[in-house]
Parts: sequence; C-alpha cells; structure tokens
Amino acid sequence: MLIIFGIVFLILVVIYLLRERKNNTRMQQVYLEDALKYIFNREESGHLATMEGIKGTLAVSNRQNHELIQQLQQNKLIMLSEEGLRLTGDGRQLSMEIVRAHRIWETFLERETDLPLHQIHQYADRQEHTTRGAKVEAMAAHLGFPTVDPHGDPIPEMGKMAPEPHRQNLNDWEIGKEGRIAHIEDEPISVAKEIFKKGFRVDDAVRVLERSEGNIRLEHLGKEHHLNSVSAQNIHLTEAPSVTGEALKTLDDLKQGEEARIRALSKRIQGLSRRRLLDLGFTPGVPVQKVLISAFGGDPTVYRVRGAKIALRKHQAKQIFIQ
Amino acid sequence: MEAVNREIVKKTAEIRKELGQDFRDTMVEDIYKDAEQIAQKVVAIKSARQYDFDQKLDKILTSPVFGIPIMGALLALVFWLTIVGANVPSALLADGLFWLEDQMAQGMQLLGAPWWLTGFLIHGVYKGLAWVVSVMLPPMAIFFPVFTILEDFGYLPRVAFNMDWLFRKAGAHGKQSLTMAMGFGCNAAGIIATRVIESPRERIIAILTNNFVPCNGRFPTLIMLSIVFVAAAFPPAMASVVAAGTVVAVVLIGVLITLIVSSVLSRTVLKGEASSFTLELPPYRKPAIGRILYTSLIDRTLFVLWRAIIMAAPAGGLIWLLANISIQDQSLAMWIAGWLNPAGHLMGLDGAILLAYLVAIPANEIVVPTIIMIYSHAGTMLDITQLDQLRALLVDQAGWTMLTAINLMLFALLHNPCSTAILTIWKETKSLRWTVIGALMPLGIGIVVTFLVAQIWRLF
Repeated sequence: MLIIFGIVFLILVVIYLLRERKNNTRMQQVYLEDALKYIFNREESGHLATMEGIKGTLAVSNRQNHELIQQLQQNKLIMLSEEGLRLTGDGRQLSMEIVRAHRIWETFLERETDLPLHQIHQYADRQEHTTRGAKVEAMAAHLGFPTVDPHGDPIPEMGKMAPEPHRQNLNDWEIGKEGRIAHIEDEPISVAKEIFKKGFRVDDAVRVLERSEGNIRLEHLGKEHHLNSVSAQNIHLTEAPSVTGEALKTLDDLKQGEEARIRALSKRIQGLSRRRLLDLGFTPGVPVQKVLISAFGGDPTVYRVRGAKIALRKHQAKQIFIQ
Repeated sequence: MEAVNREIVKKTAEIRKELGQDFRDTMVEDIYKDAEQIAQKVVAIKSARQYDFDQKLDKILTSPVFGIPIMGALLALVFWLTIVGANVPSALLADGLFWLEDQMAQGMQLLGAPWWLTGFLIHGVYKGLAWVVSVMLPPMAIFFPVFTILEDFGYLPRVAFNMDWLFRKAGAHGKQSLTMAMGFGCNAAGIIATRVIESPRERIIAILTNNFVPCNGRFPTLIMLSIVFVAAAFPPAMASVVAAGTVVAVVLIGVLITLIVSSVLSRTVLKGEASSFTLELPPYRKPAIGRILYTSLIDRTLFVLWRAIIMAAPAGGLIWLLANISIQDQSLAMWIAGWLNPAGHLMGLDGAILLAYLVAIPANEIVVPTIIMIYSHAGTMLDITQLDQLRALLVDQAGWTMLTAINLMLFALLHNPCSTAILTIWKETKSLRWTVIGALMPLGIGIVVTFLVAQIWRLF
C-alpha cells in the first residue's frame, strides 16, 4: 500500500516539475515580447527606451532584466547605444506583429463577446503571445480587416502602421466646439472602466460645456455628463465629423402603433446581435411598426418588420436609428 | 486548374480587404432588395384578416390581466392531462411487463438455467427496463404531443414574451421559460430544446439550469412523498389537493432556484459570452395534428425512451447484484447503505436513499423501488401501493420523519442530472467544462441545501 502511494506521489511530483518548466519557458517568451512592445511604444511616441524603463514596466528583477536584454540582443532584435535601446528592422517587424495581434484581438473581443470594454485590453495582452500569423489574419478577415482598434489606435498591417492622426486632449479642447472621440486610453484600467461605464466610445461626438477646477461638464449623445480631469486626460479628440455620435431618434422612441423607416443600426451593435438583426430584416430604409409593448415591465416590445413580428429588448431598440 | 483556383482565392483575398467594415451590412441589404423585387412580382396579399385576428389574440394572450392566468391554466391543464392520463396506461403497462417477467422467469427455470442467471437477466436487467418504460412512456407520450400542439399553434413564443421580464432580470432569455417547461417532460429533451435560444450565453444558462425542474421520472417520488407525509396530516377530503399543492410548491422552489442560479451564472462565469435577444412571434396556425404526433412521438418520446432504456438496463442488473451478493449474511446493498449512513444522516437522509440515488443515475424512475427494496431486504426492486404498508415500512421501520420527507423532496429536485441528461449536455455544448459544471453544480447545491435544512431542523 505504502509503496503504491509513494509511486503515485513521485509521478505527481514529476508531472508538476515538467509543467513548471514548460510554464517557465512560456513566461520567458512573454517577457521578451512585452519588453519588445515597450521599446516599440517608446519609439512610436518619439522617445528611446531605457533598461530602467523595461525593468519598471515588466516588474522584473535586475538579473532577469539583464538576461532579457541580452537575449533580445542575441536574437538581433535590438541594438544598444549610448542613449538607450533601439529596435532593429527584425525587432520592429516582430513588434508590429505582436501589436497587430493585440489590436485585432481587442477588436474581436469588442464585437463578438460581451466582455466589459475595460477588460478586453488585459485579455488581449494574454492572447497576443499565442496568436500569430494565419490565425490573426483569419480573425482580421472575419472582422472585415479593421484599421483601428476599439481604443482608437491604428492597427499595423503588412509591417506598416498608419501615423497617429493629430488629436488633442479633452482637457485642452476648446469650450463649445464639437469634437469626435478619437482615442480612449486603456490604462490604467480603473480610469478606462469609469470612462466606458459613462458610455463614452471612440467615434462619439462630444462638446465641452464648462470647465472648472478638476472637473469637466460635457454634452454627449444629447445628455450631460461630468468627468474629472484625470479621466479626461485619457480621452483624445479630433475635429473630423462624427459618424455615429448624433443624438438620433430610435425605435424605442416610437409610440405603440407608430411606424418609421430605419435609418441605420448603431455601430455599437456588433457581431452576433448585428448579424441577427440584419438577418431578420432590420435593414436601412425598411419601414418598422411598433405593435405590442409587454405588459410586464414594458420590455420587450414587438416590432412588425417585413410582415414578421419580432420582439426586441429596449437596449437593442435604442441602438436602431429611425428617420 | 489548381493554379487558377489559387489565383482566384488570392484575388478575392485582395478584393476583400477593400470591402471595408460594413460589407456584411451591404450584402444583407442587397439580398433583401432582390427579395423585395421578386416578392413584389409574385406575391399577392389577399387581405389583412389573418393579421388583424393575430393582433386581437395577441392582445388577450399578452394582456396584463389575462396573460398570466391563461398561461397558468394551460400549464395546469397539461400537467393534469399528463399525470391523470398516464395513471391507467402506466398501471396496465406495469402489469403487462411484470407479468412477462414472471413468465420469462418460469421459462428460464424450465430450460434449466441457474437461479443467478435468471435473477440477473430477468429480475435485474429486464425488471429495470420494464420499470423505466412503464413509469416513463405514458406521461411522455401524453406530455410531448400536448406541448407540441401549443408550440404548433404559436402560443409558446407568447409565453416567452410574457415571461421575458423575469428572465431578463436573471440575465437569461425569455425562451428559457419554454425549455424549462419542456424539462418537466424530460430534462434531456429540455436541454435539446435550448437550441431555440440563439444567443450563446443565454443558451448555456438554460442548459445548465434545466435540471432544476423535475422531469416526469422524478415526479413519482415527489407525489409519493406528498401523499404519504404531507397529505396524511390533513383530512382525507383535502388529501389530494394538499398533495398536489405540495408538488406545485416543490416545482416553484425549482423555478426560483433556476432564476437565482441563472442570475449568478450570467454575472460570473458567463459574463463575457456573447449575448443577443430576438424573439419571433409567428402567425397563429391551426396545429397539424398528424405531424405533431409524428414529431413528438418519434423524435422526442421514442428518442428519449431509447436512451433511457440503454441506460436503465445495466442499472437494473447492478441493483440485482447489489441486493443478491451477500458478504457475511448481509447483502452488498446493505453494506453500502451502512457506509453511506453517516453522510446521509448529515443531509437529513440516510444511506439507503443515497445508494438509491447512486444506482439511479441512469434513470431516476427507479429511486423509490430501490429504496423500498433495500428497506424490505428484498432481492428485486419493489413497489408498495398500499398507503398503510408504505407508511409502516418508511416511518415505523426505516424511521423516516418529516425532515426525511422534506429533504428527500429537495434532493429529488436538486441532484445531478441523469446520465442521459449529462450525455445530452455534452452533445449540445461539446465542452467538458460545461458538462462537468452541469453535472456537479446541482449536486453541490443539493448537498448544501439538504445539509443546512437538516442542521436547522435539528436545532429546534
């Protein structure tokens, strides 16, 4: 009996050790790629990365940091110079592949799952290290080759990245002028969560109404919002005309028996929901009549579209604009 | 040829990149435009009478005053038809099948087969089969067609529409009320029925919680307990009403737990799954009785029955072996029941009940006969129809109390799905994770709930 237990125990220990080793090599890979990404981001913003910076960002020990940089150098991904670290051509290519995987993943998660928006960055951070090449391209094709991620960052393609368009911080935006949200920073997560929770999305139109000490009052989709300047610091605007941000009438605004033509589906309905609505015939130009509101809580509501009666919930009806 | 194909694929890949983000929208719009043009040419609409009639009926069936009462009345009618209608055929079927058991046993004896072979095959395997068939077949053969008539008429989507507010609050889909109702017939059928829920998150919720409504295989246990324990405390005139009320109360507890668990699941493990809601209210139609009988009897009843038979046969054999293999003058069943007793006591049950639930994983119909078999030291599964005898056996001999009855009812509601249902979860989700959660979560909840009830009960 004792011998059997002993053998089982030994086998378990061996399995554990093997898994640990595999985990370690994978972790090493993740650290290398994260370091590369950090150097890339620094270069993109016009700075040079330092060894200290990598150590701080990855939260590794001095020894680990040295090993990482040595390895990157051996693989001819970076060059060391007096001022700091610089990517080689290969390093740049690999960095962009990682960034592409990350941003395609974020786009995929935003459209095809219901993960809260502030969490998709973390999830993509884990996936970017294991998804490469054909799989990324298949996802990109499924999404219709997006060029901008949900945070407003350009997605690099074929080793090229579109230059960041000129954009201005919300804290510096002129009072009274309409602007379009071009970028919402995904870190720190607590701030991103706050911004997304209030309903702000990339492409929305906003107008600053008033700016006071540490606080901004602004108009967004026909409603007034307050943001503190820390949150506002993470939002950038451009002047380009808005695509979806106008406060339009939606199916939800119809009264029972009223009819209207669909103008467009909001960009906020994506993936499964969007495909489903289109399949059922909720396409632009089609007349829709509100025929029946649930007697229990007023939700869902039945709409007559193309002769069929389809029930939708309120939050969906609010995303279908009418003329 | 190969080269040309590759060229085409390459070309399409290039063009596709230029299509932009909205190519799906544009495609669907174009298809609908074409369809509209064709329809304009070839479809003529005679009158709006059907539509107006539908509107009027919808007003009544979804009205705040009549909506819920009509639904309740129809549900009660379906249950009444199922339970009352199944009584006589079930009894006849049982008589016939058990008569055949005796005949076959005698035949085996005449052929000179050893007693253990007769016992295992006839009193074990065959008896298990016969039991499951006689308990399961008649209610299903009534429930499924009646349910399908409502479905075919177009009433069920209106129920989903009326009930959506409740399920929306639990993060689930209104159609889950339908798959739940289907679960009363058979949980495996209910799990298959979740295919009508097109949204992945809500569908998994419906699959994982279907087991919280008792299927017709579990109803006999609930009815027996409510008659022997609850109704016995009331005057005979009220007995049947009280018994029915007790079963309804248990069912409502099941619905409540369904909603609570749905709500927890949708806010935790299933948070990130994609979710969407659409519900079509089709025009009312005259039910096509012939097709209904075919689909509900062949597709649902026979399909479920066949799976249950495959599962029940080995269980019958196992039960016979447990009852007839003796070590030191005590059957294996008694030994195992004895070992399980401490755990059973903690849950307000006993070892025999736990053993019965273990061997009844393939088919819950045989829980009560197995319990009776163990208590009466019999060699095969038994049923006692005389109330007095049943009381004497369970209360006087086995020492059941009100606590045992309540906890057994709760455990009948809250334990692992039968093996057919577990297999169905696997087939529908193709995910080991959901299958394991679907199997163990209800069991875990059952153990915790019965344990708590027992401890609190014993405090007073």
